[in-house]
Amino acid sequence: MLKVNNLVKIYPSGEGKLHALDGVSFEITDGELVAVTGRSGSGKSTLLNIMGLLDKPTEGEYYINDKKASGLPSWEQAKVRNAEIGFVVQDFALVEKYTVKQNVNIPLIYSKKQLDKEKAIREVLRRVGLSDKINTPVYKLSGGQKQRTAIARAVVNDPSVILADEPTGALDSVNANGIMTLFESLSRAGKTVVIVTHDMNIAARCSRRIELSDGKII
Amino acid sequence: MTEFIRLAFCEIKTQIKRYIILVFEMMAAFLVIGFLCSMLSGINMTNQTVNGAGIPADYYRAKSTAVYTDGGRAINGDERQALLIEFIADNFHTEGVTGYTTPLDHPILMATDGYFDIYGLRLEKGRAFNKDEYDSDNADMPIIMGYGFINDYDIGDTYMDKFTIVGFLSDEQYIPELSGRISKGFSVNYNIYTPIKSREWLKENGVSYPTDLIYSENKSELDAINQKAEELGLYAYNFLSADEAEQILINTTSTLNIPLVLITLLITAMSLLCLVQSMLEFVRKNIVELLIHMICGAKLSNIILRVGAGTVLTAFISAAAASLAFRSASTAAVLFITAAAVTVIAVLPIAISLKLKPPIVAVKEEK
Repeated sequence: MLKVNNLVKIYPSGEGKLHALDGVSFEITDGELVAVTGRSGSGKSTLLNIMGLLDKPTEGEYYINDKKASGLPSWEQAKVRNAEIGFVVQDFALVEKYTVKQNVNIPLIYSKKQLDKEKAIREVLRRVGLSDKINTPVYKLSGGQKQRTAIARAVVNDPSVILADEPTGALDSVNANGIMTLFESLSRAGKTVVIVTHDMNIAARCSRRIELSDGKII
Repeated sequence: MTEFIRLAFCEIKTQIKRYIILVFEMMAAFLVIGFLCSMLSGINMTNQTVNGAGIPADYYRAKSTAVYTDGGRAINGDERQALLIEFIADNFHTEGVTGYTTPLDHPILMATDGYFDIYGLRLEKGRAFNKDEYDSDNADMPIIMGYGFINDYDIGDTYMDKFTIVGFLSDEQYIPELSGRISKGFSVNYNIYTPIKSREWLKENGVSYPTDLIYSENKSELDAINQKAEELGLYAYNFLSADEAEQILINTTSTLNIPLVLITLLITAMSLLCLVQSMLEFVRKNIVELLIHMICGAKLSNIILRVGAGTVLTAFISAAAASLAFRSASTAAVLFITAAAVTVIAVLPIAISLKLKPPIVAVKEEK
């Protein structure tokens, strides 16, 4: 379960301050597929970065599976990020020169979980339909295949939470549909999936929608 | 520990080509820095030679070892030169070394009784030659080796099946070599000495008696040598006292080396800048990739370890390879210190910058 309690994020902006998040609170139960929507600059990505422990809130608390994650030292946040969170972003954040297998292996390099790494990689690539691309360098893949690789990487260490920031933003409708199907299956498998999107068709396929405007839930 | 090594070398394995190119870039820069060190070391040698030679005031030496005839320079084996040297040896007390031609890697120098004292050469370990060992045609040939051999041999070892090692000279010792504008101090680290043989033996084997230093209470007594030279159809020697020799060394250092050192300093500074620039670019390229690892759960220390290990290894391999070219402990030390400094300059600012920023901000900025 994810619990966000009165999150505030303030960025310095010129002589003033920009409230990217202004007292955001909500809970997401295990296995939910949630869309976070809102216009550009509404605070969606900031919220997702804080939930992914990639950024720190100015105020407020954030819990993952009843454990307070905000305020942990950065090395402990890295451990939580590795064990509990899978991250998918619009531009894939893949190392282009690595092969698909090398990219998917990245979380496993730092994982303390007792996994058969080779088996885990092959299994996850089978699930995203990239078994035949295992040794292909990422720069040779299409956009859809890259995003599948990113999803495979996000789930290979068996995290409980998948956070996706505009995961279909760089894809055509066919590939976007395929990616959403993958997220739906992950949700059905018990993973908590949070998708930041401005695409209402994507949001409509989620079980719940949280809409932000000027850093507040509306 | 296994985890540490795995993480440290994971990066190198994935980017071996980039690391090899960087090693060569750094080696080039280190060679320039090493050249400067050698030059400064040469000046230092000269200064130490001037300060440490301690040649007594009543010893003189020829300004140049070359003897000129009216038909040109007398070459080794010129009978007239041999006669002149014989005349000097017969009529004056002389000290010095003469080369003993052997098929060995390092020529063995036959040194006179007073040679070591006059040049103030100290022993690191072992013993000096006995009085009995000088002017002896005995088949047993004791040798004293320079400090450069101290790790390869020991006292009592036999060198080339013929010579018995009895001592080693201390490090950082030099003898003055006067040869016109390239006058300077020469390290004795790779010299090998044996006591000089008898005059008869030297003559029989075609080896000249050393006349490096000629003892005379009065410089005018040396006119006899010039007279003999003239009789033989040779130009006369110029004789220098220790003070005059010292002045030549000092002048050579100030007039010849300083502009060269300044130019080399400039080139070295440029090389260092290029080196730091290469390292920074290299680390930056790696950081962009490794920040993706942070999204996947790598700790900052993992990232620093992966970048740092590769950088340290690259810098130190380059420094070690460049050091081989100079065969000098002090130059090697300078290169390794430079390697360490460059590594810190390249890695530390990025480490601090990443420490102060949330990962996502760092990722965005680096991208």
